[in-house]
Amino acid sequence: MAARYLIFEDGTIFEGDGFGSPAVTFGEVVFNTSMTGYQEIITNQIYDNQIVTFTQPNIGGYGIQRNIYESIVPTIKGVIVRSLSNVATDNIRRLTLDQYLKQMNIPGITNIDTRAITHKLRDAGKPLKGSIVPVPDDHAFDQLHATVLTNQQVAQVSTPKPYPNPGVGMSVVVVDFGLKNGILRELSRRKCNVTVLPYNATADEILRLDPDGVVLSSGPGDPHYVKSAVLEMIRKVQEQVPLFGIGLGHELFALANGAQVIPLGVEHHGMNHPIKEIITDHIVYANQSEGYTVDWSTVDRSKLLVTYTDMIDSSVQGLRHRQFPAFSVQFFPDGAPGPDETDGLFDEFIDTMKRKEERR
Amino acid sequence: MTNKKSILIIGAGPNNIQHGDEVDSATYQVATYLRRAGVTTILADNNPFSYSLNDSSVIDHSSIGPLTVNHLIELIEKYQPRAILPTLGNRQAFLLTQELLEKGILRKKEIELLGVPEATVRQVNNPVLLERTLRQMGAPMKKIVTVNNYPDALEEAQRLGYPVIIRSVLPKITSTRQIVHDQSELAAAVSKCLSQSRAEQVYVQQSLGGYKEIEVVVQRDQSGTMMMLGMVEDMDPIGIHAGDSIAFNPAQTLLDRQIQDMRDTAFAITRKLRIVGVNHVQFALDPVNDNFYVIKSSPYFDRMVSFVAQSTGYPVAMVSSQLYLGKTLREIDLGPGFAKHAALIEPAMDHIAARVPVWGFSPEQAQKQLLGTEKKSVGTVFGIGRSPAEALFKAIESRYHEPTDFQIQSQAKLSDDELVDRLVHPHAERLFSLLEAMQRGYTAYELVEMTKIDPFYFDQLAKMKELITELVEHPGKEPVLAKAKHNGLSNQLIAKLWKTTPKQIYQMMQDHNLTVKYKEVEPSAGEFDQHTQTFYSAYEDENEALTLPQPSALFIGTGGLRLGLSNAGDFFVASMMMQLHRQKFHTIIMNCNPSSVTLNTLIADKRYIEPASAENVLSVVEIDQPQLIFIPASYTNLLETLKKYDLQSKVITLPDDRLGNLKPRSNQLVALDYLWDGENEKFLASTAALQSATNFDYEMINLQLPAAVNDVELKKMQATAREVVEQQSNPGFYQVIFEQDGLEYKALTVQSISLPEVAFLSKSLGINLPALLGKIVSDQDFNLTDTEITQPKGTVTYRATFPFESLLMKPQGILGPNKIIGAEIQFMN
Repeated sequence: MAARYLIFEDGTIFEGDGFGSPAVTFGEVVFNTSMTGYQEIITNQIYDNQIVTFTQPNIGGYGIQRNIYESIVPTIKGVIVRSLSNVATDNIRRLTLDQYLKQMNIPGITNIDTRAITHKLRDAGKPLKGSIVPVPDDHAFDQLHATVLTNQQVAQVSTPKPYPNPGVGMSVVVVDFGLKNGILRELSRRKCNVTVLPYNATADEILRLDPDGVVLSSGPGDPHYVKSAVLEMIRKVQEQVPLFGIGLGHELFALANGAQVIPLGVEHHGMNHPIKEIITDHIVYANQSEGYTVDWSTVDRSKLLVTYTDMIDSSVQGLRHRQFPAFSVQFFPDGAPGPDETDGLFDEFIDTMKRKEERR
Repeated sequence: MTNKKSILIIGAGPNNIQHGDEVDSATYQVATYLRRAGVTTILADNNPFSYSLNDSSVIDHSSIGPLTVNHLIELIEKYQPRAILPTLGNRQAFLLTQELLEKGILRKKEIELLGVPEATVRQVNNPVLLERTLRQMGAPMKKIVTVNNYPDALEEAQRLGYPVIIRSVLPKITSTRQIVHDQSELAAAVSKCLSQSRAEQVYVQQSLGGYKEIEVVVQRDQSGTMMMLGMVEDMDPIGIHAGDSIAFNPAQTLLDRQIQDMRDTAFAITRKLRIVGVNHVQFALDPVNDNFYVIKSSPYFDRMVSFVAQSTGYPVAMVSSQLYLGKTLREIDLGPGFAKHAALIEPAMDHIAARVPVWGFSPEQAQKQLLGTEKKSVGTVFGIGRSPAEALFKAIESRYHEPTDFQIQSQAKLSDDELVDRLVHPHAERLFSLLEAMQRGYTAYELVEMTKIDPFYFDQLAKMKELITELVEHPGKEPVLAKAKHNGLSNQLIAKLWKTTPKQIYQMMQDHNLTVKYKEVEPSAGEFDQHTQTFYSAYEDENEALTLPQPSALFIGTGGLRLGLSNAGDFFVASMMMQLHRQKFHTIIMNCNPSSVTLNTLIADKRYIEPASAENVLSVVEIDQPQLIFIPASYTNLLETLKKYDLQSKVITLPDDRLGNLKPRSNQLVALDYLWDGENEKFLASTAALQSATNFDYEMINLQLPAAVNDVELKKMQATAREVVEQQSNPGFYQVIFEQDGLEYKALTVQSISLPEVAFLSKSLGINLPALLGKIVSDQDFNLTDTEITQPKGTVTYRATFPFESLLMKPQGILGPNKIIGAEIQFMN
């Protein structure tokens, strides 16, 4: 393995060894404290524009598995991990993590002090741009300073064309803001007949399909940069059919209903925070990946109800519309990776659709 | 909480192959926090090596007596506890609790049962009952059917798929268990087991052999909130006892969906059994199809709970104590150093902990010891690193008294057939057999086939092997040295491979500015600014260990439990640490035994999870500048090596191993035991071997205190003994051995009192003797002559226990004190 460097805008240099693609990469550096599911994390499109530091010290222990991708073309900018294993256990494809990252042109850096990086990111209190380079010279820093990351991330990662995921149950439209396969997996388990539409689908285009319900998918980046037409779409659709927002979908649902969404100083990626379901007072755990959060003080209580809260940072983790059968969560109830204690939300969505059906 | 004013804790009794010092450590912590909550604590135990029993600041009523239901009833009558805690005494405490329940005393006295409800106590005690409950709730269990003839057995075996296990239903004499690999073996097994069944029936059950073994520790509060504290993966498959396997926390080869499914099942079981506190659930996972099966649920403190607590930094015992008092997880504050609601944050690790077993037998015997479903190891050590290989290198190094040489000659001598046999039928030194096989060119997939070990581990072993080869091929090269240190190799091992001395390696590191850093074992993986003051070494960028304020004292722990010392070493070191702590010393421990009481935050201000080697001691001395360093005498290499360095700290040797070497005698021997502070001696007691017809060794196996010597003789002997003791140069515990000669006693020799015996004397006299020694070495103003020693009213006996029955081994030679695994103490009237 050749020496590689992770450099930050402030001049900090961390030395390590390269793996995966040898390309130079730029991105926002974040850390993820999950101890499971490196493949799912790497293939989650939420990491578009981001370089992910795994605090989990070793990844690659079971290679790449054919049935746990969260997207087929991952958009993550880079992988940072202390220790890399070179194992291929999938008998059919026999692909190691290193080989996979090479195929997908994703650079990685290992044998590096990830705990020090995590401390740096935590203490910075703001997003830090970084780059993985072969030589940490002035040129590398100049390039890093000159880099402007796109804010049109959803437009980049969303599907350009509609496609079906047929089933024999309820008809569901999934609006793709950077879809995570886990959502399709959960709907498929519940036999839903799914149509995935691009992020800029209009309310008319959606309702023309006569869905029983609509899912607003998770996705990357700042919700404020998603076209305002999307908020218009949400406002129209929620009046007509049951709506379920996840991650970015939750943030957009909040914006559409008048709440403010604010950036977190330090992004939160992990699965170990206690989350309280307010109505039952139950504590659950779920996969959380968030760079933005709904500002609780701006939630219009006459319109929206806060359903879940993170007990560590007291953030809003779930909303429900008081008037319409529409709800959303900041965390990922589809897990992949992560606990499936909240996958009942998909059942709730199905039940909501059924009740709506019965009333027709 | 008024209903829990006093709590009776049922202890675990003498150490045995199934449990060691982990229960003592957990008891100490739980009792401390109960006590801080205003609870009166009563501990029933008869383990002379228990630290908790000897600390009156934590246990209000230390009750040494037989662990029988009658004795417990006496205690209940005497102390009138309001609650009883069965989760700190291993399985035996559950059996005793059930007896108490059946006698109706708990109901009559309205004594609350903590941790588990009554029904769960019965289920834990009765595997058949538990299995039924688990099946009813839909937990995946191994398939098992009852048949009464061969054709039915054949049909079931074919349906289950070979191998199957055939067992007698209600066996007549001993339970027979036959593994049947194919149809040709079935008829004989069925007929044999049928003939031994009182019901003339046999069980045909699915074999889980070769599956991955996964151990999950979860926690629940009385409001029903549950969280997972750790998921540990055993390297060895089912078929080798989990306690004998190398294990990793966190799991390394499991897919997220497998982890989540097992987590859900562990939660469901814990909810069903209405456990409050910890539950350790074991699973077998079929690597081919993701199917998994519940093997066992243990809702009490055991070695896995200790391992998870020490390797994550999550204070499990402290939290459990609050849960027992009826608090919910959201009400628990972990105190300074932790984030708000940290008790509710599932531990995240940014390091890897590898646990390896410590065998109770010599390396030569280890070569012959087959591993199987019965536990063979007597102790455990762990290493923490930032990669699996680093953690494993450190863990292996931590087995101080066992071979750490990666080029074990005996493996190289094996023929190919012998080696294959070793791979298929693993021995205690299996790790080295695996390395040897890789050296000979076996591919990972061949080895996976033969050993059922996941390919991941062969990737790690290959890395370790390559690194060793690289070192051997490039002696004295700095880049290779840096790489080796980054991967957790000790100077000792590098020196061996480079045919030089560890001191040379140390020098080379200094020359090249290769400095060790310490990282904190902290349960949020760096997400929060939390501090546990538990550290491990890493050759990386950031250092987190800061110098402790003075005065400070560094203690080297006695490491993994081993035969002969049992946890008397932990008792001794912990007692001295606590004493120095009380004298305002900042205490530092270096230890590698996850179960050790010395690794408690209550006893050690700072903890280093490291093997006891010179380089580690030197690094810590550099950081913390301790005034005193305490090192067990059995670390002879370490002590020798440290002499070569100019240490500013004073090194004090702790006499952990027995130094005396008396030949068998034909007459009765008596020991007079003293504490010597360098100026004054204090008579402690007289001890003698319990009478035996055949030999009169003064062996630390079966003792009585006091010895049957009349006062006149005793006075004479004391006069002699005092003179001998006064000649000793170092403060410590000494005994003068006398031999009976007619009516008189003649002094034979003087020796240090072994630590097990010091523990026994402490319990017998009701005084913490190591703490006294701690005062002597650290407190200028302390005057030993002011200390009162009160002799017990009657006779106190000490009976050692041996592991050989459990090990299915024949003891070699005499059952000497170096072979004991535990002991029990009893006050006779």
